[in-house]
Amino acid sequence: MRHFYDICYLGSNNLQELTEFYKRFGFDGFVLLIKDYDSKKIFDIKKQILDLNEQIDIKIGIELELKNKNKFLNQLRKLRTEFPIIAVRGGNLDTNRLVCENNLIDILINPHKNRKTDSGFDKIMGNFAKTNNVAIGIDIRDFLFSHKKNRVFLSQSLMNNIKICDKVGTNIVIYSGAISKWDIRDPITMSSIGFLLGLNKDKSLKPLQNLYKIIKRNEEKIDSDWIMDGVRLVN
Amino acid sequence: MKLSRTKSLESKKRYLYFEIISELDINLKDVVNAIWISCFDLLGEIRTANANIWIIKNLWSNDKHTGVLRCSHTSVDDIRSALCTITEIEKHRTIFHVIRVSGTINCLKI
Repeated sequence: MRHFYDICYLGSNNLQELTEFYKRFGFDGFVLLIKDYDSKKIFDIKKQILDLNEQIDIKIGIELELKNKNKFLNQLRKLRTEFPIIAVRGGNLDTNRLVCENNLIDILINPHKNRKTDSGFDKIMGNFAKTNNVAIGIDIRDFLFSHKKNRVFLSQSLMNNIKICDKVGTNIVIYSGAISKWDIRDPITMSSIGFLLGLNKDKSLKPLQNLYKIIKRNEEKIDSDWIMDGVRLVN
Repeated sequence: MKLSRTKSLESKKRYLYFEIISELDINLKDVVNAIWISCFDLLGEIRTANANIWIIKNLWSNDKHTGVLRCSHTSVDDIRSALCTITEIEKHRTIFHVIRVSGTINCLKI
């Protein structure tokens, strides 16, 4: 069975409007990515989700930015048990490499960001990402709101990254990255953008279902019965 | 001798039944303009020509903001992604949502 999940940010719109739009477009759930860890803010959002009482599945994820390596790794170990999704914004080659080599991180967002000469991702990083189960995130919002020359350069680097992922076998996650309800698109349309950027026709729906698999895998790990991959405590 | 029009001469078509979610009311004229501009921007003139686009005017509903667009069967994904890049019509934020794709208008169940 297909499970479509999406990633969005809590911007100008409230949760009610976001859930209505996600339901309308046929999503099973979505992940609210929060930039920078703030326990009070997260508590408020969790309360809002409980009050909503909707049929759609809402998860909270966290997006981190690497500034200090040691601080970042300490923070990562603490947050792993709390959130089903941990994403890191890429852009710097060192950051991209560190994320690909770390199995505590789920998604590397936009490795091509602010890069002019290359796409910020190569075959070696792809191999590391595959072994550590790190997926490469493709933000549709950037694609929608860029024009002319900027969109050409953006699609160039996206195509390059997709080509490497396809060759090496790294997971890809396509998501809307919506800040408001007007940025949300339906899953089939997002898959057709993936197809336009070089994904196989048969595999173009897979990146939309990968997020659900990541969430399930991490929720199993967070569960107290989990010991290691394939081993679980049974009463 | 006059040749009769045969099915084999026709290219295969797909009909896209779409709805427009917008902040305010919009005309068909603005919608058509937006579709052409986005197709030229994303696909270019040659791929748009291959797509064989036609917007069916009498199936446009002003109340529901729904309409039907015809294109060739090989370029459905191209047109879908071109439509999704429309973010504004007449400076009002919009979403193009393709509800159904079919080979005949009857099967669209409008």
